[in-house]
Amino acid sequence: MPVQLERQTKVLTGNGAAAYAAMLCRPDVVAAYPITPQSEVIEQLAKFHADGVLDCQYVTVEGENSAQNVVCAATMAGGRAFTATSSYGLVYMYDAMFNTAGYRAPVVMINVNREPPGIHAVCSGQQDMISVRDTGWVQLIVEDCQEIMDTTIMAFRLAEDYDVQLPVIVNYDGYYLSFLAESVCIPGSGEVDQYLEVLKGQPPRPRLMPGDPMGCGSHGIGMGYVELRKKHMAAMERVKTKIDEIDEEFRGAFGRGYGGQIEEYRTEDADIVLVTSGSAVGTARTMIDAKRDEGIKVGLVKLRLFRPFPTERLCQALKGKKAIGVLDRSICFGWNCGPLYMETRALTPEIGVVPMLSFIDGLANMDITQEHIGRMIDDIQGASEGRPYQEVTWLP
Amino acid sequence: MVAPDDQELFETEASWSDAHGALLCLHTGDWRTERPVFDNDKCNACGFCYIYCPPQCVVDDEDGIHYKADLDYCKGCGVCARECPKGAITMAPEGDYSDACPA
Repeated sequence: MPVQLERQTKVLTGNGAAAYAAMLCRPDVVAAYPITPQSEVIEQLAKFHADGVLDCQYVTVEGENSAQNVVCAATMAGGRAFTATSSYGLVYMYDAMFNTAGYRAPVVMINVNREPPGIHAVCSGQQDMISVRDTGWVQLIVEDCQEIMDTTIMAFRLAEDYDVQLPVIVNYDGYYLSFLAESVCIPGSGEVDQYLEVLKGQPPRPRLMPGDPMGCGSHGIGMGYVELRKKHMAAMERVKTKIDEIDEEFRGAFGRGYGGQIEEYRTEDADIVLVTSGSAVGTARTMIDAKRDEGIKVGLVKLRLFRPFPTERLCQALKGKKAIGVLDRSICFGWNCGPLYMETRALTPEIGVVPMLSFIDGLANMDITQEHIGRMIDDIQGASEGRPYQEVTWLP
Repeated sequence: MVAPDDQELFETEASWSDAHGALLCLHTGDWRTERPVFDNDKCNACGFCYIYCPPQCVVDDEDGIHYKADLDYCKGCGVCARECPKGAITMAPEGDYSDACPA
Protein backbone atom coordinates (compact mmCIF):
# COMPACT_ATOMS: atom_id res chain seq x y z
CA MET A 1 0.00 0.00 0.00
CA PRO A 2 1.61 3.29 -1.04
CA VAL A 3 2.13 5.91 1.63
CA GLN A 4 -0.79 8.31 2.00
CA LEU A 5 -0.16 11.90 3.06
CA GLU A 6 -2.67 14.54 4.03
CA ARG A 7 -2.73 18.00 2.54
CA GLN A 8 -0.65 20.35 4.71
CA THR A 9 0.88 23.81 4.74
CA LYS A 10 4.54 24.05 5.63
CA VAL A 11 7.37 26.52 5.40
CA LEU A 12 9.56 25.10 2.64
CA THR A 13 12.53 26.32 0.66
CA GLY A 14 12.23 26.18 -3.12
CA ASN A 15 14.35 23.05 -3.04
CA GLY A 16 12.13 21.55 -0.37
CA ALA A 17 9.05 22.28 -2.47
CA ALA A 18 10.64 20.57 -5.49
CA ALA A 19 11.50 17.49 -3.43
CA TYR A 20 8.00 17.26 -1.94
CA ALA A 21 6.44 17.59 -5.38
CA ALA A 22 8.66 14.91 -6.87
CA MET A 23 7.92 12.58 -3.94
CA LEU A 24 4.16 13.10 -4.31
CA CYS A 25 4.35 12.07 -7.97
CA ARG A 26 5.73 8.68 -6.86
CA PRO A 27 8.70 8.25 -9.21
CA ASP A 28 9.94 4.68 -9.71
CA VAL A 29 13.52 5.83 -10.10
CA VAL A 30 15.43 8.83 -8.75
CA ALA A 31 19.03 9.29 -9.86
CA ALA A 32 20.92 12.48 -9.20
CA TYR A 33 24.22 13.92 -8.10
CA PRO A 34 24.54 16.74 -5.58
CA ILE A 35 25.51 20.21 -6.75
CA THR A 36 25.07 23.65 -5.25
CA PRO A 37 22.40 25.04 -5.11
CA GLN A 38 20.38 21.93 -5.95
CA SER A 39 21.77 19.45 -3.37
CA GLU A 40 18.93 19.98 -0.90
CA VAL A 41 16.44 18.58 -3.45
CA ILE A 42 18.07 15.19 -3.63
CA GLU A 43 19.05 15.16 0.04
CA GLN A 44 15.39 15.59 0.91
CA LEU A 45 14.41 12.86 -1.57
CA ALA A 46 17.05 10.56 -0.09
CA LYS A 47 15.52 11.21 3.33
CA PHE A 48 12.02 10.45 2.03
CA HIS A 49 13.41 7.22 0.61
CA ALA A 50 15.24 6.28 3.82
CA ASP A 51 12.15 7.06 5.91
CA GLY A 52 9.99 4.85 3.74
CA VAL A 53 7.86 7.73 2.49
CA LEU A 54 9.15 7.35 -1.07
CA ASP A 55 9.15 3.87 -2.53
CA CYS A 56 11.59 4.05 -5.43
CA GLN A 57 14.96 2.95 -6.71
CA TYR A 58 17.29 5.69 -5.50
CA VAL A 59 20.44 5.44 -7.60
CA THR A 60 23.47 7.22 -6.17
CA VAL A 61 25.42 7.84 -9.36
CA GLU A 62 28.96 9.12 -9.70
CA GLY A 63 28.04 12.13 -11.80
CA GLU A 64 25.30 13.90 -13.73
CA ASN A 65 26.05 12.20 -17.02
CA SER A 66 25.23 8.86 -15.43
CA ALA A 67 22.23 10.36 -13.65
CA GLN A 68 20.73 11.42 -16.95
CA ASN A 69 21.40 8.04 -18.56
CA VAL A 70 19.84 6.21 -15.60
CA VAL A 71 16.62 8.23 -15.62
CA CYS A 72 16.42 8.01 -19.42
CA ALA A 73 16.74 4.21 -19.27
CA ALA A 74 14.24 4.03 -16.40
CA THR A 75 11.55 5.79 -18.42
CA MET A 76 12.33 3.61 -21.44
CA ALA A 77 11.66 0.59 -19.26
CA GLY A 78 8.24 2.09 -18.53
CA GLY A 79 8.98 3.77 -15.21
CA ARG A 80 8.54 7.30 -13.93
CA ALA A 81 11.86 8.98 -13.28
CA PHE A 82 13.13 12.17 -11.71
CA THR A 83 16.46 13.92 -11.49
CA ALA A 84 17.69 17.34 -10.44
CA THR A 85 20.76 19.36 -11.25
CA SER A 86 22.23 22.80 -11.82
CA SER A 87 24.84 24.60 -13.90
CA TYR A 88 28.00 22.46 -14.16
CA GLY A 89 25.87 19.35 -13.61
CA LEU A 90 23.51 20.32 -16.39
CA VAL A 91 26.27 20.81 -18.94
CA TYR A 92 27.97 17.62 -17.77
CA MET A 93 24.88 15.70 -18.89
CA TYR A 94 24.55 17.62 -22.16
CA ASP A 95 25.05 14.67 -24.55
CA ALA A 96 22.76 12.44 -22.51
CA MET A 97 20.04 15.08 -22.65
CA PHE A 98 19.90 14.73 -26.43
CA ASN A 99 19.39 10.98 -25.97
CA THR A 100 16.58 11.45 -23.49
CA ALA A 101 14.81 13.90 -25.77
CA GLY A 102 15.52 11.91 -28.93
CA TYR A 103 14.18 8.72 -27.35
CA ARG A 104 11.16 10.78 -26.28
CA ALA A 105 11.77 9.58 -22.73
CA PRO A 106 9.47 11.56 -20.39
CA VAL A 107 11.96 12.36 -17.65
CA VAL A 108 11.21 15.24 -15.29
CA MET A 109 14.22 17.23 -14.18
CA ILE A 110 14.66 20.17 -11.85
CA ASN A 111 17.31 22.65 -12.91
CA VAL A 112 18.18 25.19 -10.26
CA ASN A 113 19.50 28.09 -12.31
CA ARG A 114 23.12 28.98 -11.67
CA GLU A 115 25.84 30.57 -13.77
CA PRO A 116 27.69 27.94 -15.82
CA PRO A 117 31.45 27.26 -15.89
CA GLY A 118 33.96 29.73 -17.26
CA ILE A 119 34.01 32.43 -14.67
CA HIS A 120 33.67 30.21 -11.63
CA ALA A 121 30.43 31.56 -10.29
CA VAL A 122 28.64 29.86 -7.43
CA CYS A 123 25.68 32.16 -7.84
CA SER A 124 22.38 32.69 -9.59
CA GLY A 125 21.89 33.29 -13.31
CA GLN A 126 19.91 31.65 -16.07
CA GLN A 127 22.72 30.98 -18.52
CA ASP A 128 22.62 27.23 -17.78
CA MET A 129 19.06 26.78 -19.04
CA ILE A 130 19.81 28.89 -22.10
CA SER A 131 22.76 26.62 -22.91
CA VAL A 132 20.52 23.55 -23.32
CA ARG A 133 17.67 25.17 -25.23
CA ASP A 134 18.23 23.16 -28.42
CA THR A 135 18.42 19.72 -26.81
CA GLY A 136 14.73 19.10 -27.52
CA TRP A 137 13.55 19.31 -23.90
CA VAL A 138 10.50 21.22 -22.76
CA GLN A 139 11.57 24.00 -20.40
CA LEU A 140 9.45 25.79 -17.85
CA ILE A 141 10.58 28.56 -15.53
CA VAL A 142 8.80 29.58 -12.37
CA GLU A 143 8.57 32.44 -9.91
CA ASP A 144 8.11 31.25 -6.33
CA CYS A 145 8.13 28.21 -4.04
CA GLN A 146 4.44 27.37 -4.47
CA GLU A 147 4.84 27.53 -8.23
CA ILE A 148 7.84 25.19 -7.98
CA MET A 149 5.64 22.69 -6.14
CA ASP A 150 2.72 22.97 -8.53
CA THR A 151 4.71 23.13 -11.75
CA THR A 152 6.77 20.07 -10.86
CA ILE A 153 3.54 18.09 -10.45
CA MET A 154 2.26 19.51 -13.75
CA ALA A 155 5.57 18.59 -15.38
CA PHE A 156 4.95 14.86 -14.82
CA ARG A 157 1.44 15.24 -16.20
CA LEU A 158 2.87 17.01 -19.26
CA ALA A 159 5.92 14.85 -19.92
CA GLU A 160 4.08 11.55 -19.85
CA ASP A 161 1.05 12.74 -21.82
CA TYR A 162 0.63 10.51 -24.84
CA ASP A 163 0.48 13.53 -27.16
CA VAL A 164 3.74 14.91 -25.75
CA GLN A 165 6.16 12.17 -24.62
CA LEU A 166 8.98 14.62 -24.00
CA PRO A 167 11.34 15.25 -21.11
CA VAL A 168 10.62 18.41 -19.13
CA ILE A 169 12.89 20.72 -17.15
CA VAL A 170 11.44 22.87 -14.40
CA ASN A 171 13.81 25.80 -13.88
CA TYR A 172 13.94 28.13 -10.90
CA ASP A 173 16.46 30.76 -9.87
CA GLY A 174 19.18 29.36 -7.65
CA TYR A 175 19.73 31.11 -4.29
CA TYR A 176 16.78 33.49 -4.77
CA LEU A 177 14.31 30.59 -4.80
CA SER A 178 16.32 27.48 -3.94
CA PHE A 179 16.97 28.74 -0.41
CA LEU A 180 14.01 31.09 -0.02
CA ALA A 181 11.68 29.73 2.67
CA GLU A 182 8.01 30.43 2.10
CA SER A 183 4.72 29.02 3.25
CA VAL A 184 3.78 26.35 0.71
CA CYS A 185 0.59 24.34 0.40
CA ILE A 186 1.58 20.70 -0.08
CA PRO A 187 -1.22 18.79 -1.80
CA GLY A 188 -2.34 15.49 -0.33
CA SER A 189 -0.98 12.37 -2.01
CA GLY A 190 -4.49 11.27 -2.92
CA GLU A 191 -5.11 14.54 -4.76
CA VAL A 192 -1.90 14.17 -6.74
CA ASP A 193 -2.65 10.51 -7.53
CA GLN A 194 -6.04 11.64 -8.78
CA TYR A 195 -4.53 14.43 -10.88
CA LEU A 196 -2.08 12.03 -12.55
CA GLU A 197 -4.64 9.24 -12.88
CA VAL A 198 -5.51 10.29 -16.44
CA LEU A 199 -2.05 9.12 -17.58
CA LYS A 200 -2.94 5.54 -16.69
CA GLY A 201 -5.82 5.59 -19.16
CA GLN A 202 -3.62 6.58 -22.09
CA PRO A 203 -2.22 4.11 -24.63
CA PRO A 204 0.96 2.46 -23.35
CA ARG A 205 4.35 3.61 -24.60
CA PRO A 206 6.69 0.96 -26.01
CA ARG A 207 9.20 -0.20 -23.43
CA LEU A 208 12.29 -2.28 -22.95
CA MET A 209 11.75 -5.69 -21.38
CA PRO A 210 14.14 -8.63 -21.04
CA GLY A 211 13.14 -11.38 -23.44
CA ASP A 212 11.43 -8.97 -25.82
CA PRO A 213 14.21 -7.33 -27.82
CA MET A 214 13.35 -3.82 -28.97
CA GLY A 215 15.54 -1.19 -30.52
CA CYS A 216 15.31 2.57 -29.99
CA GLY A 217 17.45 5.37 -31.26
CA SER A 218 19.37 3.17 -33.63
CA HIS A 219 17.83 4.26 -36.94
CA GLY A 220 19.56 7.49 -37.72
CA ILE A 221 19.73 7.21 -41.46
CA GLY A 222 17.98 9.37 -44.02
CA MET A 223 14.21 9.60 -43.93
CA GLY A 224 13.91 7.82 -40.60
CA TYR A 225 15.88 10.62 -38.98
CA VAL A 226 13.85 13.28 -40.75
CA GLU A 227 10.58 11.65 -39.70
CA LEU A 228 11.62 11.49 -36.04
CA ARG A 229 12.80 15.07 -36.04
CA LYS A 230 9.53 16.19 -37.55
CA LYS A 231 7.55 14.20 -34.97
CA HIS A 232 9.67 15.66 -32.17
CA MET A 233 9.05 19.16 -33.47
CA ALA A 234 5.31 18.51 -33.80
CA ALA A 235 5.19 17.22 -30.21
CA MET A 236 6.97 20.40 -29.08
CA GLU A 237 4.30 22.48 -30.79
CA ARG A 238 1.57 20.45 -29.06
CA VAL A 239 3.12 21.31 -25.70
CA LYS A 240 1.93 24.90 -25.99
CA THR A 241 -1.81 24.24 -25.88
CA LYS A 242 -1.28 21.19 -23.68
CA ILE A 243 0.39 23.19 -20.93
CA ASP A 244 -2.51 25.67 -21.02
CA GLU A 245 -4.98 22.78 -20.64
CA ILE A 246 -2.95 21.10 -17.91
CA ASP A 247 -2.73 24.39 -16.02
CA GLU A 248 -6.51 24.74 -16.19
CA GLU A 249 -6.98 21.14 -15.01
CA PHE A 250 -4.63 21.93 -12.15
CA ARG A 251 -6.63 25.01 -11.24
CA GLY A 252 -9.76 22.86 -11.18
CA ALA A 253 -8.15 20.24 -8.97
CA PHE A 254 -6.08 22.37 -6.60
CA GLY A 255 -7.46 25.90 -6.91
CA ARG A 256 -4.22 27.39 -8.18
CA GLY A 257 -3.32 28.25 -11.77
CA TYR A 258 -0.52 30.08 -13.50
CA GLY A 259 -1.79 30.91 -16.96
CA GLY A 260 -0.04 28.08 -18.77
CA GLN A 261 2.57 29.33 -21.25
CA ILE A 262 2.62 32.93 -20.05
CA GLU A 263 0.95 35.01 -17.40
CA GLU A 264 -0.14 38.52 -18.25
CA TYR A 265 -0.34 41.22 -15.59
CA ARG A 266 -2.15 44.49 -16.37
CA THR A 267 -1.36 44.15 -20.07
CA GLU A 268 -4.87 44.63 -21.42
CA ASP A 269 -4.91 48.43 -21.44
CA ALA A 270 -1.11 48.80 -21.33
CA ASP A 271 0.81 50.96 -23.81
CA ILE A 272 4.15 49.36 -22.97
CA VAL A 273 5.09 45.91 -21.72
CA LEU A 274 7.97 44.39 -19.82
CA VAL A 275 8.68 40.70 -20.47
CA THR A 276 10.62 38.66 -17.95
CA SER A 277 10.76 35.32 -16.14
CA GLY A 278 11.69 33.63 -12.89
CA SER A 279 12.12 35.25 -9.49
CA ALA A 280 12.36 38.76 -10.96
CA VAL A 281 8.66 38.64 -11.79
CA GLY A 282 7.60 39.39 -8.20
CA THR A 283 9.73 42.54 -8.09
CA ALA A 284 8.51 43.51 -11.54
CA ARG A 285 4.87 43.15 -10.51
CA THR A 286 5.46 45.51 -7.59
CA MET A 287 7.06 48.06 -9.90
CA ILE A 288 4.29 47.77 -12.49
CA ASP A 289 1.85 48.79 -9.76
CA ALA A 290 4.11 51.65 -8.65
CA LYS A 291 4.54 52.98 -12.19
CA ARG A 292 0.82 52.64 -12.85
CA ASP A 293 0.29 54.91 -9.83
CA GLU A 294 2.62 57.41 -11.55
CA GLY A 295 0.38 57.25 -14.63
CA ILE A 296 2.54 55.05 -16.85
CA LYS A 297 0.37 52.44 -18.57
CA VAL A 298 2.73 49.51 -18.27
CA GLY A 299 1.97 45.80 -18.22
CA LEU A 300 3.98 42.69 -17.48
CA VAL A 301 4.35 39.38 -19.28
CA LYS A 302 5.74 36.54 -17.24
CA LEU A 303 7.24 33.87 -19.45
CA ARG A 304 6.61 30.42 -17.97
CA LEU A 305 7.33 28.29 -21.01
CA PHE A 306 10.74 28.82 -22.56
CA ARG A 307 10.86 25.75 -24.82
CA PRO A 308 8.80 25.60 -26.92
CA PHE A 309 8.72 29.39 -27.15
CA PRO A 310 5.14 30.61 -26.66
CA THR A 311 5.07 32.65 -29.86
CA GLU A 312 1.29 32.78 -30.39
CA ARG A 313 0.40 33.82 -26.84
CA LEU A 314 3.25 36.34 -26.78
CA CYS A 315 2.12 37.88 -30.07
CA GLN A 316 -1.38 38.18 -28.65
CA ALA A 317 -0.05 39.89 -25.52
CA LEU A 318 2.39 42.19 -27.30
CA LYS A 319 0.54 43.17 -30.46
CA GLY A 320 -0.41 46.83 -30.57
CA LYS A 321 1.91 47.88 -27.76
CA LYS A 322 3.99 51.00 -28.34
CA ALA A 323 7.27 49.68 -26.90
CA ILE A 324 8.50 46.45 -25.39
CA GLY A 325 11.28 45.71 -22.94
CA VAL A 326 12.73 42.27 -22.21
CA LEU A 327 14.66 41.57 -19.03
CA ASP A 328 17.15 38.70 -19.23
CA ARG A 329 19.18 37.09 -16.47
CA SER A 330 21.58 35.72 -19.09
CA ILE A 331 23.30 36.80 -22.26
CA CYS A 332 23.20 35.76 -25.88
CA PHE A 333 26.64 35.57 -27.43
CA GLY A 334 26.63 36.52 -31.09
CA TRP A 335 23.55 38.75 -30.87
CA ASN A 336 24.86 41.20 -28.28
CA CYS A 337 21.65 41.13 -26.24
CA GLY A 338 19.66 38.91 -23.91
CA PRO A 339 18.36 35.55 -25.21
CA LEU A 340 14.69 36.16 -24.37
CA TYR A 341 15.04 39.53 -26.05
CA MET A 342 16.45 37.91 -29.17
CA GLU A 343 13.57 35.44 -29.33
CA THR A 344 10.91 38.05 -28.58
CA ARG A 345 12.39 40.26 -31.26
CA ALA A 346 11.95 37.45 -33.75
CA LEU A 347 8.18 38.05 -33.39
CA THR A 348 8.50 41.48 -35.05
CA PRO A 349 6.77 40.42 -38.30
CA GLU A 350 3.70 39.49 -36.26
CA ILE A 351 3.64 42.28 -33.68
CA GLY A 352 4.95 45.12 -35.82
CA VAL A 353 8.01 47.34 -35.66
CA VAL A 354 8.08 49.09 -32.30
CA PRO A 355 11.01 50.02 -30.06
CA MET A 356 12.31 46.90 -28.32
CA LEU A 357 14.76 47.19 -25.47
CA SER A 358 17.01 44.49 -24.05
CA PHE A 359 17.92 44.66 -20.36
CA ILE A 360 20.59 42.40 -18.94
CA ASP A 361 20.47 42.27 -15.17
CA GLY A 362 20.85 39.88 -12.26
CA LEU A 363 23.93 38.01 -13.54
CA ALA A 364 25.92 36.26 -10.84
CA ASN A 365 23.59 37.04 -7.93
CA MET A 366 23.47 40.75 -8.67
CA ASP A 367 20.06 41.74 -7.36
CA ILE A 368 17.37 42.81 -9.81
CA THR A 369 16.11 45.63 -7.64
CA GLN A 370 12.91 47.67 -7.74
CA GLU A 371 15.04 50.65 -8.69
CA HIS A 372 16.47 48.76 -11.69
CA ILE A 373 13.06 47.73 -12.92
CA GLY A 374 11.77 51.27 -12.40
CA ARG A 375 14.54 52.52 -14.65
CA MET A 376 13.71 49.88 -17.27
CA ILE A 377 10.07 50.94 -17.32
CA ASP A 378 11.09 54.60 -17.66
CA ASP A 379 13.36 53.70 -20.59
CA ILE A 380 10.61 51.72 -22.32
CA GLN A 381 8.14 54.55 -21.75
CA GLY A 382 10.62 57.06 -23.15
CA ALA A 383 11.15 54.93 -26.24
CA SER A 384 7.38 54.66 -26.74
CA GLU A 385 7.17 58.46 -26.74
CA GLY A 386 9.78 58.70 -29.48
CA ARG A 387 12.75 59.62 -27.31
CA PRO A 388 16.11 58.11 -28.32
CA TYR A 389 16.86 54.86 -26.51
CA GLN A 390 19.64 52.37 -26.12
CA GLU A 391 18.85 48.93 -27.54
CA VAL A 392 20.83 46.93 -24.98
CA THR A 393 21.34 48.06 -21.39
CA TRP A 394 23.42 46.25 -18.80
CA LEU A 395 22.40 46.96 -15.23
CA PRO A 396 23.50 47.94 -12.68
CA MET B 1 11.19 16.98 -47.97
CA VAL B 2 9.37 15.09 -45.28
CA ALA B 3 7.52 11.87 -45.93
CA PRO B 4 3.75 12.20 -45.88
CA ASP B 5 2.03 10.44 -43.01
CA ASP B 6 1.13 7.34 -45.01
CA GLN B 7 4.82 6.68 -45.63
CA GLU B 8 5.94 6.76 -42.00
CA LEU B 9 8.70 4.35 -41.07
CA PHE B 10 7.82 4.33 -37.38
CA GLU B 11 4.42 3.76 -35.83
CA THR B 12 5.71 5.20 -32.57
CA GLU B 13 6.77 8.71 -31.60
CA ALA B 14 10.37 7.63 -31.03
CA SER B 15 12.43 5.30 -33.20
CA TRP B 16 11.20 2.11 -31.59
CA SER B 17 11.52 -1.03 -33.64
CA ASP B 18 11.06 -4.73 -33.10
CA ALA B 19 14.54 -6.15 -32.64
CA HIS B 20 13.60 -9.81 -32.87
CA GLY B 21 14.93 -9.91 -36.39
CA ALA B 22 18.01 -7.86 -35.54
CA LEU B 23 19.27 -9.44 -32.34
CA LEU B 24 20.18 -13.10 -32.08
CA CYS B 25 20.26 -13.74 -35.83
CA LEU B 26 23.83 -12.94 -36.91
CA HIS B 27 26.26 -15.47 -35.41
CA THR B 28 28.21 -12.94 -33.41
CA GLY B 29 29.72 -15.75 -31.32
CA ASP B 30 32.42 -15.88 -33.98
CA TRP B 31 33.77 -12.54 -32.72
CA ARG B 32 34.49 -13.92 -29.25
CA THR B 33 38.01 -14.12 -27.82
CA GLU B 34 36.86 -15.07 -24.31
CA ARG B 35 33.81 -16.98 -23.15
CA PRO B 36 31.90 -16.86 -19.86
CA VAL B 37 32.14 -20.06 -17.83
CA PHE B 38 29.41 -20.50 -15.22
CA ASP B 39 30.14 -22.20 -11.89
CA ASN B 40 26.74 -23.46 -10.74
CA ASP B 41 28.10 -24.30 -7.28
CA LYS B 42 28.71 -20.60 -6.60
CA CYS B 43 25.63 -19.35 -8.48
CA ASN B 44 22.58 -18.34 -6.42
CA ALA B 45 20.44 -17.88 -9.54
CA CYS B 46 19.91 -14.14 -8.87
CA GLY B 47 19.61 -13.46 -12.62
CA PHE B 48 21.94 -10.44 -12.78
CA CYS B 49 23.77 -11.99 -15.75
CA TYR B 50 20.44 -12.50 -17.52
CA ILE B 51 19.41 -8.87 -16.93
CA TYR B 52 22.77 -7.31 -17.77
CA CYS B 53 23.61 -9.26 -20.96
CA PRO B 54 23.45 -6.55 -23.67
CA PRO B 55 22.17 -8.76 -26.52
CA GLN B 56 20.12 -10.92 -24.14
CA CYS B 57 21.97 -14.15 -24.88
CA VAL B 58 22.23 -15.41 -21.29
CA VAL B 59 19.61 -18.13 -21.25
CA ASP B 60 18.20 -20.71 -18.83
CA ASP B 61 20.37 -23.70 -18.10
CA GLU B 62 18.94 -27.16 -18.76
CA ASP B 63 18.55 -27.68 -15.01
CA GLY B 64 15.89 -24.96 -14.96
CA ILE B 65 17.64 -23.12 -12.09
CA HIS B 66 20.90 -21.68 -13.33
CA TYR B 67 22.01 -19.80 -16.43
CA LYS B 68 24.32 -20.33 -19.37
CA ALA B 69 25.45 -18.31 -22.35
CA ASP B 70 24.09 -18.91 -25.82
CA LEU B 71 27.51 -19.25 -27.44
CA ASP B 72 26.14 -18.78 -30.96
CA TYR B 73 25.62 -15.12 -30.12
CA CYS B 74 27.73 -14.32 -27.01
CA LYS B 75 30.47 -11.88 -28.08
CA GLY B 76 32.39 -12.45 -24.85
CA CYS B 77 32.01 -8.87 -23.59
CA GLY B 78 32.31 -10.03 -19.99
CA VAL B 79 29.56 -7.85 -18.51
CA CYS B 80 27.98 -10.95 -16.89
CA ALA B 81 31.24 -11.90 -15.19
CA ARG B 82 31.81 -8.34 -14.04
CA GLU B 83 28.33 -7.99 -12.56
CA CYS B 84 27.95 -11.46 -10.98
CA PRO B 85 27.77 -10.76 -7.23
CA LYS B 86 28.89 -14.31 -6.40
CA GLY B 87 31.90 -14.39 -8.72
CA ALA B 88 30.37 -17.47 -10.34
CA ILE B 89 31.30 -16.44 -13.89
CA THR B 90 34.86 -16.39 -15.17
CA MET B 91 36.04 -15.38 -18.60
CA ALA B 92 38.18 -18.09 -20.20
CA PRO B 93 40.33 -17.63 -23.33
CA GLU B 94 38.54 -18.95 -26.36
CA GLY B 95 41.74 -20.72 -27.45
CA ASP B 96 41.31 -23.18 -24.54
CA TYR B 97 38.18 -24.43 -26.26
CA SER B 98 39.54 -24.59 -29.79
CA ASP B 99 40.63 -27.94 -31.16
CA ALA B 100 42.14 -26.63 -34.33
CA CYS B 101 44.83 -24.09 -35.13
CA PRO B 102 43.76 -21.49 -37.66
CA ALA B 103 45.29 -22.10 -41.06
